[in-house]
Amino acid sequence: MLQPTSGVLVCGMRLPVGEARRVLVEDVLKHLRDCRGRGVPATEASAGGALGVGLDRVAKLVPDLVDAGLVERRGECLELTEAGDSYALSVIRAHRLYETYLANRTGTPGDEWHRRAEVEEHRLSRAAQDRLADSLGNPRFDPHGDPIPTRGGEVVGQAGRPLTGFGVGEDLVVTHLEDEPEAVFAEIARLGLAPGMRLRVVERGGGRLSVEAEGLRQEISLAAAERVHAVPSSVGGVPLGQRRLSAMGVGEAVRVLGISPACRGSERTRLLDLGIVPGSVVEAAFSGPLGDPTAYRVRGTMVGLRREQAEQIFVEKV
Amino acid sequence: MSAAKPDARSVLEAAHELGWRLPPDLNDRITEAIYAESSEIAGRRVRRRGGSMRLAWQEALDRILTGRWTGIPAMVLLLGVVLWLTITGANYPSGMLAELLIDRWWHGLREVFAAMGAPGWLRGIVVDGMYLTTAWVVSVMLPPMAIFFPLFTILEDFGYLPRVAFNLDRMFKAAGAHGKQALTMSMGLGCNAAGVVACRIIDSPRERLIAIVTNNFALCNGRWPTQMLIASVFVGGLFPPALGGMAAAGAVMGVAGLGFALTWLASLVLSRTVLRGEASTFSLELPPYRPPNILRTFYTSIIDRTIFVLFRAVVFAMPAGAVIWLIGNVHVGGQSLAHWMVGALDAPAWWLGLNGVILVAYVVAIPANEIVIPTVLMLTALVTGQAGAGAGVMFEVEEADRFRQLLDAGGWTVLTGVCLMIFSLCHNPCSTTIYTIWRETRSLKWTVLATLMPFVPGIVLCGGIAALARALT
Repeated sequence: MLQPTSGVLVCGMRLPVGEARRVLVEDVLKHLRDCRGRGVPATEASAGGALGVGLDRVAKLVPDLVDAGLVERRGECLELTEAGDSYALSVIRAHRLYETYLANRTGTPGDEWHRRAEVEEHRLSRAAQDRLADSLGNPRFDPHGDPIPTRGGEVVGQAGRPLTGFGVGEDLVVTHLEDEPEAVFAEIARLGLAPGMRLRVVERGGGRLSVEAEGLRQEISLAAAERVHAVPSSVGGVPLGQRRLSAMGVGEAVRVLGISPACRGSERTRLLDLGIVPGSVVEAAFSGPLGDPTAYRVRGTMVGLRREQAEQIFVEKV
Repeated sequence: MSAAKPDARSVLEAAHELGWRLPPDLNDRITEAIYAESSEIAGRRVRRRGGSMRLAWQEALDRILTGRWTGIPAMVLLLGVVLWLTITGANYPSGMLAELLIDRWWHGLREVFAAMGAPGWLRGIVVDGMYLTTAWVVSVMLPPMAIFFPLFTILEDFGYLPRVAFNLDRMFKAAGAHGKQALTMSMGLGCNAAGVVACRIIDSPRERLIAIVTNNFALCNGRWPTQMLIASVFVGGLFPPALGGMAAAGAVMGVAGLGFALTWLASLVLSRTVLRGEASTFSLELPPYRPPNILRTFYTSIIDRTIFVLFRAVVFAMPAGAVIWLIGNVHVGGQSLAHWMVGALDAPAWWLGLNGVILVAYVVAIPANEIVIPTVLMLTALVTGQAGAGAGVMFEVEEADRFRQLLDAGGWTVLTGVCLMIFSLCHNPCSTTIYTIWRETRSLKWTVLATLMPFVPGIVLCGGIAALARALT
């Protein structure tokens, strides 16, 4: 079964076991790690605010965390010890693996990944994480482009800076999408952006950015653009995706340029297995009686694809 | 790496380090390279010969079987022809089997038991219960299965089933379900337990659950004989004999079509409520048509399907036969258990256009749908006192007329027949299927939902039809 089995995260710490309390502990540790990453000081108040729980609850918890050797107090500030950092990292690993699982293996819509992973991250034991990672083929990045910590607890840094920091006309590749806050991520998800997508900013102003992502022009709010990170493209040049397989009429033959990065996991593997790889010539053979799906002739076989999938396949005229 | 001979640890570390530097689209590139390489090799070493005649033929066929105007009608027509052949073809061998297994062997067995001086209850349980039920199941089920399964396998072998999935995908997509559900549904037409297991081909857990929960709306082989028998007696009986077979096939197809509609509706409701989510994607290879291998077809359909399914039916029929005999012959307070049960269920059954006998039969037949009709006949004979060979013995029916007479005496009308056909579609799955659902989902919640959900349309439809029919007459 692909469904990861839930289990209790065993970490050798001597804290009272209560489920809600453990969840809070893990959330506080994640918050401390997040603050350190952003270079801002973490306090009981900042944790309470970020997690939306009362200050008193966090304040009551902190002495126990210090006793358990997970957190150190430095004046006003709280800092993770090595043990605390490794614990936090394992929760992050669970979160990112589960998001990858949802994106690659299930039909769960993109704006639900984060919320579901927030719950599941507290349930996956280390053994369950490893099993999940194995079944997913040990992915390196989650669907938002965040690196997944390895079994050994290593994690690489992130490349890229916010889209708002780039000039008009530069060729870029999306590296990371911030999944919080939810409302902003919903906009990013709606635009269909995904790590690996090539885009360029075509116009800015009026509180919005006009981008051309894989050949499609789209408007994006500054708040969302702030949360889309990119690096200059090393491949350079022509944006893909000006023509998509879905737009081809019956009888037309085209050559595949690539599959959109938004098409992930088993879905992508399946398309590749069917021979839809760059360079393949594809011909639209016929549509079903209800107009969709359409059958395409690819490398001597006939393959039926739904419109949404044909939209993910970039092509050029032969 | 400065050491002359790097140790395993440093190699692993280096590999690990390099792993992060691989491009994110590594899988794509590898697949692309494999395809480039293999097409290069094929281009050098393989010469293609013509084949355009065959291609043209394939394409002409696809134009009809998946065509905008012809695809769906062709599908309905093919199913209709298969059903018609099964219904008309099964009559004769069914009669012969009944004569052999019931008229001859059953009487023979009774005499053997009598000669051995076996007590009456033993003969009752073994011969009148277990043997007779089994004989019934075999004679009612074997002929239609031996015709239906090979025909179905021929279509499968021919490459038609993926086209069905292709034709219907749009509808499944609209219901938020997976396109492969068309395939698991057609597996369910053979056996729901097999259909539920087949749902493993659907990766996404949400869509797999939808497919599992709705699979019961595909008429399984345990229910085809019920449908065919009742349709030929009640629907076919409304028409002159020449048209009876066609009318019956049409009625069975109507029920199968209703099953598809309910599958669709239930999938839609599920994907809007408890299994909320987007339809995921679908890609399906449409294999080339190929002439079916007749020998293999017969082997797989007779051995793998017919014999297997029949074996299962027999295994369930024997204990059920004993139960049927017992409830017909164990008396409590002056009445047999069967009388009590039928009496208790008559009132609710009336609202559904059915009768108490049918509901009792469905309770007894939870292990296997195949024994519904035999149980109905036995109980009807018992309740009407028409028993040909003593109370509690499954009635022997030599001709369709006798069958009709018996049911008429039990107060059956066309309404009862129609409602039974619908109830047969919309009731709980058999115990094997329920167990399979549990094994596949490991969830009590989904198992209970899958078990009880079919009753909702069943009660609504049967109750509605019964009320309407009574209002009109």
